[in-house]
Amino acid sequence: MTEGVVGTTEGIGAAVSRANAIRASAVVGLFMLASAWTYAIDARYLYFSAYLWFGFVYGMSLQYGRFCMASAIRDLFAVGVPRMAVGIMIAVVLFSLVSAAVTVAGRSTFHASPIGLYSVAGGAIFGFGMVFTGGCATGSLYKTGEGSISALLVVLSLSFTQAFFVETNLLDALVPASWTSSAAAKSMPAQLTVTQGWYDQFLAGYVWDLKSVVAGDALGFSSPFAKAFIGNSLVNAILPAIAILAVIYVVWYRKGWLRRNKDAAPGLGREVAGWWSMVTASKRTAIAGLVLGVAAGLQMWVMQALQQKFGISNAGELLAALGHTSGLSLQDTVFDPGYFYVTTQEAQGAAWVLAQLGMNMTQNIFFGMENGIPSPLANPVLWMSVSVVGGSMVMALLANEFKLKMPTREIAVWAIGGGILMGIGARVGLGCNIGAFFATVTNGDPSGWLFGLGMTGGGWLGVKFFNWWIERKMAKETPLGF
Amino acid sequence: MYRLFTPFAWLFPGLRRGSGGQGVAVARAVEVPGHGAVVADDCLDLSGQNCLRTNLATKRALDGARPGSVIEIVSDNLSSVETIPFMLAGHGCVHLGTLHLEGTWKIYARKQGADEGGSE
Repeated sequence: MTEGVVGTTEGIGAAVSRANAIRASAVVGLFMLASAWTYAIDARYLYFSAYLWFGFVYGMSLQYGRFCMASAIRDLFAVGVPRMAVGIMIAVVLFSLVSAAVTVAGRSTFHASPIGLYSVAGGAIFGFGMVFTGGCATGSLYKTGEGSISALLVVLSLSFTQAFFVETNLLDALVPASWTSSAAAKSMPAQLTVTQGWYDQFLAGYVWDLKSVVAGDALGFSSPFAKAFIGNSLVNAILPAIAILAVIYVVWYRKGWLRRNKDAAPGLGREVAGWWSMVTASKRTAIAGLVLGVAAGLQMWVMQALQQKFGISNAGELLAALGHTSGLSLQDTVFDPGYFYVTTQEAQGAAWVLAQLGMNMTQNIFFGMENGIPSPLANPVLWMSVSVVGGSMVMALLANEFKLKMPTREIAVWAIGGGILMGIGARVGLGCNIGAFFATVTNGDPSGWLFGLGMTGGGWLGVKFFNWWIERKMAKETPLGF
Repeated sequence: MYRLFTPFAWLFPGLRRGSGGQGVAVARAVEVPGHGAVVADDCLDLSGQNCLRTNLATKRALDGARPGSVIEIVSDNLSSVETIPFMLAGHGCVHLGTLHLEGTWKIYARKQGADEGGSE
């Protein structure tokens, strides 16, 4: 009996089902309606729409390229496939160049993170967790858009874990005395109890005492062009990315390439050809990396331009002007990075839900003093996360790839457990694979590489553990028939 | 550990009990573009599995396949569908094609014989 064939993955653009085309149009229509309706109410809602549509582009790109940092680490260590790791390095190089241009133009909204070992620790916990969930923070978002309920469980687990983690006092016994005394010595608002709560003391008593720097400044460049392009982009992003690609090529790709190209003349030309073959092996991933890199840089430009247009430095001022006065921080600010970010706004969403259930979520630095807890409808950065899901959904529908997938109980447990680790890691590392790695290394902040190092190490450990677990399970299961 | 979910199973009727472990599908003939009619000797159904499990199970299957045999890998995990073709060469297999059917993908790989360089 011969099965009918719809097509190969190479020719999949051929036939979008009518139902999927209608669904995709509905999603796009919903976002367009939200943009148009809010703009009609007040033109300043354009700020929200900018976050929304950039998120939409990210979602489409992530889904198209199956772009996921968990995949990058997992596939490399588990099965020796460097596709995703290569794609990420492409995105890093491109984003760094666009970011440098944005910085030179005086449009950057980036702020470097303090440099410290906390980045390695946070990255390690995050990386370990994301192996179990099957997706990083952005990977889980775009896979939610594809219909994966286990990915949605990861997003929810990660979000609520963060909210609990920054508020809880349960870990106070683990706080070093030096953190407590350093936090107490800072002039903090009376409404915050910064000598209670592990996370408050971690921030006020440890992180805030560390120095932050960008490579361009550290290298002593005075010219803005040299600072941005040579210091931040070339030294902090491009050269390390090339070095990583070289290691990946030598360790994971070269042997197979040489076996497949026995007739190629030995020498530098053959190695360059092999290296280029590795970089272009997956067109989807390369294209996604290119779009993500450019769009992420452009978003900084656009958001800063809108801040100038509306005469604000933080979306909190905008919310207040628009009448959304509840949920602002003590400084009348909200989380407003001005670039691609994921975990903080998700934590805000979870905290808002918990606040509606009666929990006091504002007696801490993270929400109470820095980021606020605006309503999800009045949280522009959360609009971006929602539209990442939407963009991914549209791309999946147009490719007939959307499928509602319910997890098994085992996968649900991994998703929730891994999400908890990712949530803790994201807060300890002051961000996730995007906020603490991708956005930082591409803007000259070396702390991003510390997070990346931790994430890679934690991911490696996660792969080793999961490999052992799966092998153990598969050995017990029914033989596969061959 | 998974029994903790049992009292809540009525909330999530879709949560499948089983581990969704690899199913073995009956071998059948399939038309693979560029290769004509192909009969898959060994079939591995990994629908519903997460990325890592899909990749590891595939790796195990590829290493255990008989030289010359055709393996059909069924998956609905897009990340793995993208990764698996890149895995094949490292396990002595060639990629015959990937079919996108309703909500699922089928990847066809042929294990090379020792004389074809499929020594791994």
